[in-house]
Amino acid sequence: MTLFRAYQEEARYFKYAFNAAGKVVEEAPLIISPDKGILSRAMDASHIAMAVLEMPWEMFDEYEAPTEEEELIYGLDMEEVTRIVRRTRVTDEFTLEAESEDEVIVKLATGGYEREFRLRSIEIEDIPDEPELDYTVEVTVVPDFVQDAVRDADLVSDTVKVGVEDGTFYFKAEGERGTVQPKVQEGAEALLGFDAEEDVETAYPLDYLKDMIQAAQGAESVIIRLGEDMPLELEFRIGPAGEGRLKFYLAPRVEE
Amino acid sequence: MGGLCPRCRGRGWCGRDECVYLATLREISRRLRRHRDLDGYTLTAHVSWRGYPRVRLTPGVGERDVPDEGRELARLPYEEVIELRALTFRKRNERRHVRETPSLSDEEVEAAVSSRPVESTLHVERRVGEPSRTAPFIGPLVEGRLELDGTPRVPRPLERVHEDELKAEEAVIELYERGLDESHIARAFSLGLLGRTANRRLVPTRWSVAAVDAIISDHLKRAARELPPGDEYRLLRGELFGNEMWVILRPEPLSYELIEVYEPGAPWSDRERVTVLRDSEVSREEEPEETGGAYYAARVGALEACLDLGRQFGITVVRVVRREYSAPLGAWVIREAVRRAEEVLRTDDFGELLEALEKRMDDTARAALKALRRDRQGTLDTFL
Repeated sequence: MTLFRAYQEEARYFKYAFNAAGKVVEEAPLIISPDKGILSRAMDASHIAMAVLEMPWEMFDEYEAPTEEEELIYGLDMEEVTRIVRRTRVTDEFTLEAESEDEVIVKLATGGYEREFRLRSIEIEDIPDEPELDYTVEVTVVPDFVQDAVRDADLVSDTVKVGVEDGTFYFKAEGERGTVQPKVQEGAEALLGFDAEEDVETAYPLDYLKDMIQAAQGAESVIIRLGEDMPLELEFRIGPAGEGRLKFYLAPRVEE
Repeated sequence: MGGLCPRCRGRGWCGRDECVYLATLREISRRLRRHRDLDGYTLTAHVSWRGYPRVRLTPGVGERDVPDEGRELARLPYEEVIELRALTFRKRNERRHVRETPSLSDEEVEAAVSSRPVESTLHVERRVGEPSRTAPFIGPLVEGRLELDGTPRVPRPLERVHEDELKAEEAVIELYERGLDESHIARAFSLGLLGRTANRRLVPTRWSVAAVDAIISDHLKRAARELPPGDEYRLLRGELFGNEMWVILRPEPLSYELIEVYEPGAPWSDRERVTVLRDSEVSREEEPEETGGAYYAARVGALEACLDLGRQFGITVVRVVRREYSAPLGAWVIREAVRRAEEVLRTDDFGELLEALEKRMDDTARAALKALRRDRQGTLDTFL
């Protein structure tokens, strides 16, 4: 008996999102909600980062939501998920489903054949609430900018400052070898949205950012939310019309 | 460049009245002049990294019945350990490929991993090298013949993991749980005695020590993750041979970082300025870039402290290296220094802990405090 089923003609959206999430968190719940779709929220073991995934049913080409009123919850070992993701082509037809409460099934179809992976559900101890934060800055940029900025910063340092000053959104990394400062100004083509109540600058660990931006490949745009000494929020819209969202929260470096 | 001693050679940079280093060099020459047969104990073996993958396996013969193990050596005065090391003569062997691993029944190998040093005579033909100038400090290299007078006794657990061909990682953990000293485990690892037969190889000593500490601390990390979160901030302090260790425990999910501060003149230091190095688990690079083997050695000690307390913490270890540590002796000094750390403060206010550190530290050590205040990784917990 099928408990739920979600089918998408192209695996592209899942490949990049699951790949990034799988690098950031070690394990994650897969929450199948009858009305909200497929969801997940998990922190990494050090509580430095959180990944939040929201895939509403409308995002899928075909779906069967659970008929019961209760949510179904599975536990994913994200390392296993990452392995499957590596075996996934962006053009594969993608199905996520379950026949029991013990395992989830991923099916990849291409060229007239199908591959089936069964993932045993693991115990997830607690599912964190999403933080509610009063950001003072929200910018929307093209994914390329964030990818370049993070990789540039990585050349000289292992932390990066992210900030806004006088209508410019920038990354700044300083190391013994030098300084890099990728930036984009209000009005530029790569800056799709800009809303800043104040100038801010906060530092974040680059290693996490490097993993998170893996999701940029499957996204049309990236929304970044910031505040002084607050976590950074990265939001990627996923799905054919951006119906789904993958969000990351990243704790700042702090000063006493 | 290694320690202060080989650079200073008796000019008094370490502040001691008498130069330990020159004294030991003189002693070496005196021994070799007097007679060519050294009666002593085979107690260790060293695998070189130069020329990798064709390396040299050199057994070490010392004159005293003291095992080459961190826990034992840490009990002795520093000068005595330097002397022990300087007078551990290394017997040069032909180079061999790392895949040509010796058998455990090879006498020299068996003696090097014996639970006690094995009575031996080293017939010296000629001296071919000075004590090592790079860390860790070890004795002169000679050519000659090694004769075992006693019977090596390999610890049972080591024999078992060797015969059962446990995977190297599992073998290291098993030996640690059985109470073997890390130096001893690293020696077995380096001699290619651990792991599946097909995977065995000789591992240069310096790499083996870091590898063993990395495996053990990963193992301890898995255990510590299961513990309830810490309740208060704690400050621990320990010291060994001019290595001052401050262990700062924060009530946070488990994390680890090492900050090293080198007093001017200390091994590897800048001569004029205080040097600060830092590696954190947050930067999830495969290997610590700045602090090398010290990173893992201190991690073993710090995680043991968490397990003793039965709670997990966000850990920062500050290592202050003083000029007194003039001849670096190896990662075991760092491991043992952390193990000696005792609680000096407990508080629920991080500011109070920082103040206490400020008061107890001198200007050199405060450089670490500056790094700590300037910038450390926060968690999301405060925002949930």
